[in-house]
Amino acid sequence: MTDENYSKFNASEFAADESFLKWRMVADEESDRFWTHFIETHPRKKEEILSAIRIVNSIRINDYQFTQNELLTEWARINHSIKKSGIRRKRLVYTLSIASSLAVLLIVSYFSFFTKPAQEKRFITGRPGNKEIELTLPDQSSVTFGENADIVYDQEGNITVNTAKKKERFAKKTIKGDLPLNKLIVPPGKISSLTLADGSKIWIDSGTTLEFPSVFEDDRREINVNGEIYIEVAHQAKNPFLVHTSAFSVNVLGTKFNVSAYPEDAVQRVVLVQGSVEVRMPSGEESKLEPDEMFSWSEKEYHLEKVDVYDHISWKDGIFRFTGEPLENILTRLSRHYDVPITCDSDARKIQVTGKLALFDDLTMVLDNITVIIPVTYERENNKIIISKK
Amino acid sequence: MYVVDPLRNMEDEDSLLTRFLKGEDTAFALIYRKYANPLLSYGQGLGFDRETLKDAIHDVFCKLYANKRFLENIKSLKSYLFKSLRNRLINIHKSQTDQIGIDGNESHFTVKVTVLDELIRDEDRLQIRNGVEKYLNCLTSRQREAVYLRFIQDLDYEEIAVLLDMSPHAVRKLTSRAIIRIREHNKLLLFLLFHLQSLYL
Repeated sequence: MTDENYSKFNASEFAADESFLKWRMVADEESDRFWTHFIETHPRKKEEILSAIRIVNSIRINDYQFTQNELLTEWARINHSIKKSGIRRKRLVYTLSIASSLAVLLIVSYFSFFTKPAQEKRFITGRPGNKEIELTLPDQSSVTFGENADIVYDQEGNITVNTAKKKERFAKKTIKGDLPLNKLIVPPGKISSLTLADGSKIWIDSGTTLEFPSVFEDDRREINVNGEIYIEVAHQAKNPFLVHTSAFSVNVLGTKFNVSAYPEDAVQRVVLVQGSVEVRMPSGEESKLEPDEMFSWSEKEYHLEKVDVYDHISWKDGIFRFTGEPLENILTRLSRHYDVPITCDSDARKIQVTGKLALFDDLTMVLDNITVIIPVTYERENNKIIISKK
Repeated sequence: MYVVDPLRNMEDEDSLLTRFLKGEDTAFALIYRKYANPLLSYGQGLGFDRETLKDAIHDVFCKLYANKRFLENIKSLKSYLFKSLRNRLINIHKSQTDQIGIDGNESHFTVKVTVLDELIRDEDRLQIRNGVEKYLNCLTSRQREAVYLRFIQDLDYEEIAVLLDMSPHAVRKLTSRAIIRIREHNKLLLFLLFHLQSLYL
């Protein structure tokens, strides 16, 4: 083929041309020389060539894929076989079952309310500003991390931070007393974990701000939360642990519980997994929780109820589990977790969902899973997701 | 240290394997999620139908779970799964054809080419597909398989060597010969055509 013939080619013709294909598939010096020269001498063909390269790059070999349904069915079958053969060992109470972690799998009940509130509601939780996790130390210096971080304070006030990419250590001089608190901001789209100087462990959900001292004082331990945490408090009988939210304080004596206190949410909650806590309201009222109980607070009223605690702490294992939760609540959490605005039409908002959602890296995978199990569709508009009833 | 978020970093094969070996079931689910489709693709290339492959992939994952304790020394999870599928398919093939002596070496590796770009006309798509298929089909089945494993599935020469029971050196040679073969393909023919054309002009 000569240059002259090629000068009349369009993108598809280039892409189908033997010499061009060879160059894209198995380039050697000769073909490289030929095609670079051609592009240099035919600048007007550059657009066509670039399109042709794009077409060739879209070629797939043996691009076979299971459908979403096949994946789920086959996965269930594998688990069934494993269970039957008795290979599975007993697991701890709060670890995941295999089936749960794949995707959304079980929908026990689904029904929709025929309530139709006026207009579309928007779930925005994205706060302006930083996309990075930010830790401000008592001396007001701050460090940021681009990825989910595991932060550990030891008894001397030294700090170790692990992210997927690096490990950092800070040695900080700390003096007990009225120093400014450390402040940890976990923006929407990120989660983190923190070990406090007393050994208490905290999982911090997206869009949460936490304040805590480097080293606790001898007679009290106090932290402030705006957002959602799950905490396992190290037991110290003589040294109570207090968690303050904008609405109430939780007094603890060694326990595991979840606090959900986003200022923008109508309801703030405490869920007790193990141990014993006392919630103190600004009015001076106190309410004591038993394990498996949830305390919820909205507009100066509270009530207690028995719940399945794992629904409320599953986020720390990278899944969301729901029992009869309205879709709108799930979308609020997803929006916060992935830092993407999600809107939903009024027909879909009240659909009750029971099941599990694995929080894959890619929000699209999560949304695909949702559309498999409940009758909704979604579309992307700019950087926004719009969910509507099928 | 405890894990911050078990579902992040899906791409990291090593940590997936480590976490799976530690008994984390989430990691097992993610391994399935990540490799089910590549295994299907490889199996189809080896010429098996979808239903047979579902069974074989099912067996591969059950075996992976059952043999967890013995897997600490495997170097690459992906090539382990591919090898496991290949062996399973050879067994299935043997039991179906009821013959002795058929081994993986005689398998016929096929390729199906798809052009995903949606902006082009169907006839152009067909032509591009034919072009690519022609090149890949001028290779021996073994070369085709090696090229597929190396460039489509991104396995390295050592991994392919284990999979195909060859030395890494031999795999390297096999692939480079395949590439040369594609480069040289039709050169002679084009040369002849060109000269014939000029004769008649």
